[in-house]
Amino acid sequence: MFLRIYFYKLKELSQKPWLVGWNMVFPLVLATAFFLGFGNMIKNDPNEFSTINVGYVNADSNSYFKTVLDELSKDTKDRKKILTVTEFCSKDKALESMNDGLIDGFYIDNNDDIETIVPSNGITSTTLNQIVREYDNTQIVIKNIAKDNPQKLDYAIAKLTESVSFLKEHEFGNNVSPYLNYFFSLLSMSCLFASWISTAMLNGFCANLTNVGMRFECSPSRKMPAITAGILAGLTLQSFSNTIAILYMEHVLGINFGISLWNSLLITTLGSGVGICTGVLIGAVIKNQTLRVTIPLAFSMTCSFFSGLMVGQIKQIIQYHCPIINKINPAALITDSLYICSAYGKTKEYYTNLLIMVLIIVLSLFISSFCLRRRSYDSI
Amino acid sequence: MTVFKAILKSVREYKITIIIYLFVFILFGNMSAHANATNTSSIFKETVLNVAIKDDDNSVISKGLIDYLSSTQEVEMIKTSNYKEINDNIRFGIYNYALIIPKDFSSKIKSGNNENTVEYISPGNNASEYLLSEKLRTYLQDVVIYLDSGYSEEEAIKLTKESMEAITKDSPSIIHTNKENDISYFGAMFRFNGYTLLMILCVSIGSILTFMKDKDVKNRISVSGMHFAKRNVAIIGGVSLIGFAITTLVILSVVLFNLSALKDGKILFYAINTYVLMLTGLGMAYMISSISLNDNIINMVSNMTVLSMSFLCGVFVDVEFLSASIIKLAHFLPLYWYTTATRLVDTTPVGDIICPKYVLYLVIQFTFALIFVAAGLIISRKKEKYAV
Repeated sequence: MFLRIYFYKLKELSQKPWLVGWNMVFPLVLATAFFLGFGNMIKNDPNEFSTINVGYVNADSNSYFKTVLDELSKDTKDRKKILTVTEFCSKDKALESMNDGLIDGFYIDNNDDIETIVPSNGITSTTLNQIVREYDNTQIVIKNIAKDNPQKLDYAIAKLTESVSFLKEHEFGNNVSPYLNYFFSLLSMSCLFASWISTAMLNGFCANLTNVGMRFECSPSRKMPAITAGILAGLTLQSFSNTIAILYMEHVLGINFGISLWNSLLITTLGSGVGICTGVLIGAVIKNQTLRVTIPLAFSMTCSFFSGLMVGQIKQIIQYHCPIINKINPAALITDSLYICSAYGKTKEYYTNLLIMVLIIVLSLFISSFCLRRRSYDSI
Repeated sequence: MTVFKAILKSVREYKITIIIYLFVFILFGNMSAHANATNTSSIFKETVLNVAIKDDDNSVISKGLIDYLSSTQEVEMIKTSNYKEINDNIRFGIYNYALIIPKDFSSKIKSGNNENTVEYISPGNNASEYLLSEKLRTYLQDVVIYLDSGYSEEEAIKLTKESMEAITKDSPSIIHTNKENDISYFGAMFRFNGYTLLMILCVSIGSILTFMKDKDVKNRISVSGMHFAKRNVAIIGGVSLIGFAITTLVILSVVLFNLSALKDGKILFYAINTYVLMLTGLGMAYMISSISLNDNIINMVSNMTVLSMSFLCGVFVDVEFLSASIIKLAHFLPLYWYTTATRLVDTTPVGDIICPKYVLYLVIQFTFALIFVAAGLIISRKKEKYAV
């Protein structure tokens, strides 16, 4: 009986075109749109430091500032060159080049009095200005030492030209691109879409909703195994959709999640369980047919939005201001589990997230069983 | 008039959808606009970064360093030792940089063992990392030189601070070249509106149109004796009125949230562009409604097309980050021309907006509206012919 209902439900659900569209096709379409939109940014970080093209206007060939610029135009073992310097014979020529977007700004060196010209405010302009400030700072330090401790002047000059690395970067093994979070969030949205598989599945079990439900409720078959079989059928369908979505993203679009396939499947299957069970809860509580479609849709989209589906950093903003919301938002739990697993491996937080998902499943089923129990109909 | 009234009444069924999308637009549109809006200024303003600092040393030198950073950057003192949490906050833009000052920082600086005295976390090798690391290196280098030259800790910090203040007089001059990358509040709001307005129109109008195509409703209207042309004019009139009302509501909500932005006088051009987008939205809604009579499928197709278009046409991701081939592809999508027209209005002086380019963008959007209606008609006819 259990297997029969399981297979019938599987057949029934997979024959609903809107369900196949939403749960199977929609994630693939959105993943393609994401990939076309910012897939290149996963591999090539748009914020990565790029060499600044700067102009230099000076008649004096022996300027010390030019030596500084030349030093910054060389690649070092730690990083690529900071500047690419183009010399101009006049301010007007340099300005013309800046207008054409060939340079990001230019320096006018007037006997060591450096003027910086930039097209707008921003980090590039601030960096160009910082170079001038460092140059002027060197002169101030030398003047101070020469005035107070002239015997240390040679030491100070040597130290100023020395390259000492005061700072050390704390390395994290796997630098996961923040743009990958959109794809994790998309997978969590796909998992939560399972909620309307449940509401659709419950339609066939409730006499107050459909004719099939009437026939089922007055039949002698036991409700508990039937609903369990329906839940498992929904879970199978959703897990299948997730597998296709993951394989498509990793092997067709070429996005490397940094997680083993089995691990991704474990997280998304658990996530689908959350979607299915919250859907059962919604289906058990809400009787209105329109709301049985609208509420799961609103629930999945809202949860997905707050896990970073449309604004990538929103989950972290919530984590910073009110972390408890991320611990009760199923989409954030799924996204976070995938992210943690990818960035740091299986940490304590990863297992905590999985545990919370299990708790949500148990709690949803527990409340749903109270709503669905003790309903019996006579055959008249 | 009966058909017209029936259409207006049917809106009530979709009022929740309209309210939800309006709420999404007002809340997230504002969030996105405030995050993306940039102001052009002729006065140089140094880029200020958000720096998280964890000071385990609490020495005179570490406090001097924090004092220096606080005077130039947005500093937040943190207590957590969870490096992953700090790293996530940096990766997702809460901070730009985190500085961890260890317990032995001061003793290392004084002993001359200056290599790797402080640790930092940054979002990879980017411009803010370089800038801040350079500032810190300059500051620490000065302190070390002063200390090694016989100055006391207090004197070294005082002199370094003075020289850091002295060099702030070095400010670049700004000569504007082009303003194409600047986005105003209105520009950002109307850009986001490309997504919300199309979604509202496709879902609500699409569903209303399917309601009118319902077999029973259609049969009742057909036997009513109302002339075919009159009936269709009533449907078109009703749908256009709803579309116009929704679009006006959206425009008013943009204006109400930032009345000061009205000063530049560009609202009229944004509004014209939005009303033309409304026509595209109505065309899309008609086409989608001809595909299916099922609300669920209409919702699904609307979400698929509008969300995908929004990512490809520069609504969610700025066009400058899109690859050249995607931009070429986006030329075949109506939302691209809407965002391009919005950008044109945003970056052009008010007197120069009415130009062939602006008119061309509107005409292209209008053409897309006609194409969608034509496609809808063809689909409807084929479905009727083959009784699909």
